[in-house]
Amino acid sequence: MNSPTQRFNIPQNQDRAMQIYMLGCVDFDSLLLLQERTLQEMRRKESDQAVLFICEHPPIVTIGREGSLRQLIGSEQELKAGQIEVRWINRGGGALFHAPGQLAVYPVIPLKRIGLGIPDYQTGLSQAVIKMAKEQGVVAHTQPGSSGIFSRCGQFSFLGAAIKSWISYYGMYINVSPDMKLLRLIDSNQNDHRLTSLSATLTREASMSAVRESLMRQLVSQFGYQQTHIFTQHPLLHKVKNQVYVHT
Amino acid sequence: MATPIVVPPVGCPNQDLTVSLWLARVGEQVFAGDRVVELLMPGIIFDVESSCSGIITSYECQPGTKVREGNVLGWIEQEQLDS
Repeated sequence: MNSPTQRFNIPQNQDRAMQIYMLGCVDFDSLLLLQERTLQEMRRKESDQAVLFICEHPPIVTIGREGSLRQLIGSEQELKAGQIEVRWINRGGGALFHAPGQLAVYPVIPLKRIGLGIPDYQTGLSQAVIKMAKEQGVVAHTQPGSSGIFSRCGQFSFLGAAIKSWISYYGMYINVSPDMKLLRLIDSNQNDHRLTSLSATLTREASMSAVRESLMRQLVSQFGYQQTHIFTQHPLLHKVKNQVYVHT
Repeated sequence: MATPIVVPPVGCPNQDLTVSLWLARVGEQVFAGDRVVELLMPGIIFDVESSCSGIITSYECQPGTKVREGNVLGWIEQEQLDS
């Protein structure tokens, strides 16, 4: 089940396509709205086509269903001073600090229509990240009792997904080369794992574009999609870059 | 007729799931396909939909309870349709 080389036995459909939006830095609300709209459209159309959003977010803290305000203890003043919003949201996972340099990956996939169970979906995401990391020169692995992905230096990827009407949304977050001082303002890791990034593990700057391209390819392969349509912008989105006021 | 709200097959019968929260209150009317309860597995939440239209009559599991595929989460009293 959890073999690193696992591929799912997904019924092949030559017309199955994934639309991929590589969007740069996008504010959290806009992308959430876009995901919900995509999900509603997908639910109505009943097709097996998927959509993948890959972006970064301006600084914001989100708290998932497994999170607690306890994870923010000690950083309230700095978050306030930095005008960094804290939001409770309906995804799995705990509290996470999002900032440029962290890749947010949101696959909107009709799981039931392509024959995937929830553990398969979770494993598919994990394997895609592990294979992407390997291509970057980082040996990565999962750990029992955690939904994250780890390198020798600590945890660099977090799962925070949701499934509505058997269609996935939200997804996962990968620390490529964010400002780790910002991310460590909150206790993202409730299991005492050290928080790290791909750049810190490599001891050199990891290429965001290489990570994006590799991850996209791995996800498409992992979930059995034959065609991809890649876009670098979405007509309904506007890009936002918030000023970061936090100095640590 | 009372109809159970059941944890659907998620692809892993031995996986423990946690009841995250109820999205419909006892006494509330729901329609077939409405989301009534949210379940959680590590890193992922998912919604359980109502299999019929009716009134939620009781919860069998409170938020925080561990459940598995096939467990009954609550009950719906199906609406009697006027013919």
